[in-house]
Amino acid sequence: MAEQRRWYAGMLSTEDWWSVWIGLFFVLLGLLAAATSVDLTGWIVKFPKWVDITKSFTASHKGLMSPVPSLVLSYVLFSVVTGIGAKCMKWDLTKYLIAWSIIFWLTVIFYIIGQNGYICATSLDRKKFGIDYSLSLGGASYIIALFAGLFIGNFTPKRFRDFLKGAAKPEWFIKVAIVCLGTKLGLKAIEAQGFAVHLVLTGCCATIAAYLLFWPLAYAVARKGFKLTREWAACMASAVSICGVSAAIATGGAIRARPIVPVMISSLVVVFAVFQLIVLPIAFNAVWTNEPIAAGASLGLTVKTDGADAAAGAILDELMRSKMAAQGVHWDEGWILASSIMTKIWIDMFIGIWAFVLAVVWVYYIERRPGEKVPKSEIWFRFPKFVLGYFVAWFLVMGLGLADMIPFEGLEFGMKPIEGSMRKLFFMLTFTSIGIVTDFRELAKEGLGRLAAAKAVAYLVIVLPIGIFIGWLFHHGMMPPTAP
Amino acid sequence: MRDEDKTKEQLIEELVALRKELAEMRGQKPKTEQVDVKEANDEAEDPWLPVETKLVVVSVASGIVALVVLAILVHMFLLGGH
Repeated sequence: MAEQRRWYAGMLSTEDWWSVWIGLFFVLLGLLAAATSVDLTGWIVKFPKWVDITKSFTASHKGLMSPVPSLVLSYVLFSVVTGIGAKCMKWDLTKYLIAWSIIFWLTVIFYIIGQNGYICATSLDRKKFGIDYSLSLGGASYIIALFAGLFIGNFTPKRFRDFLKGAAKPEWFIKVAIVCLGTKLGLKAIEAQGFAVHLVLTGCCATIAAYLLFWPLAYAVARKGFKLTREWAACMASAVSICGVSAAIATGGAIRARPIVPVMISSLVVVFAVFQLIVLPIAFNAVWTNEPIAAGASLGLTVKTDGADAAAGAILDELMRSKMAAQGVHWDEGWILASSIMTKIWIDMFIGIWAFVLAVVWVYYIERRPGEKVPKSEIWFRFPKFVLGYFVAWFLVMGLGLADMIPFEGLEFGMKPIEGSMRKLFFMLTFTSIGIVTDFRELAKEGLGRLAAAKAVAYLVIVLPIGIFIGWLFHHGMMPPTAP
Repeated sequence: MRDEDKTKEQLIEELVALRKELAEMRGQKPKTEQVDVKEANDEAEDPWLPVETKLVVVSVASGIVALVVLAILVHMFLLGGH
């Protein structure tokens, strides 16, 4: 805590801030397009469902350019902006760009495969595509990217996968996507303002209640049940109950744990998140379609990394909408995803406050360091900055729309490629990257067994049931608006 | 650079270097083996302190109060509308 830092520290050197800059750059480009009617965002490549391979990708605004230039331009421009970020963060730019290119083009292939009509078309789409059957697997492209990434991360030569890890940055990609998602919520809030506000408030309430219950119970289980030392128990409790990697690291900093502690716990978090991401959306879709928003919010409370949560929310959104479409009910896209992101956003925002509380408890009561003070600025340093980008994007779009400064059609014209095509592409990059960075060998490491067992018990006995209950308690009866 | 901005490898390197430095300060031969998790969480157990009981109890009690109060408010003012 004694370290003196300026409030703007890290603005050009952390992934968190760079997700804000990249996300907001494209949001502003979209707003400029909306205000001037000049098509500045229609070039972003889009991957629609297809049965004819020549229609498997296109420009967001088809009239602007043909598919191949759109794909190439998207690759070049996204390479440039992420490359600038990588350079500022002092990564090896050449290595980054080569690894990024491999990940980008692999992701494009996975995306195209997953959008094949025979795999993902709903019963309604079949007529449009002229096909008799399809697997109706909403979100198949995400699953394909994840499994392909896992294959790369676990079975390819070590040198190759280590090289790819230079650009496999799931937390960065998902944060860019979440800033873009803010514009989607802005557009949706113009159409369904009351519902969006309810979602924000209920998400906040659910998070407050969950925070205060998850952490102490998980901590007690780790300390009493598994006899972990305080630093391991505190970091593990934050990882399992709050928000995985960032919470473990923030807690490690707050209680001055040795660096190895949050690092080792983080590697477990990533492995666990993959299971949560695969199992929970499928389970919720099977038994909880009558409460889609509660199910989404519960994901936000129970999937423990930002990337995996947004990914799980996207899968649940697709799965539930496909299932209901088959029954003739058409929910608007994105609300279930928004509910999962909303609770996670609140959780992320509270990390700073919780880290501050823990720092105070540790400094003044547990380790009793006479004379040491915990500055309030620590809350700001622990605050996840991409959340700022998300809210700025949301309020900008909603404010300009509600104040009638830009007509709704104009906003849709400029922002749709950002909140749709670009956001989904970055989601896909996240899935591929999660797979690549997930190393199942971590589970077999000596000494991780007890930690893994403590984490699994705390998760299954405390976080999962309480998270589902709280998600239901604060969101039950809320249904997504129907599609226009 | 803050801890949260460092890679796992950087953090482990830093930790090993610190241990080496500490061992040298104590006039011991520095350990060269890798730091592993088993060593870290097999350390002498910390005794459970009364303040930990207080932390857990106060937090859970606040959680239950928050759950009840917020749930009532949400049901009265928000969910009733859906």
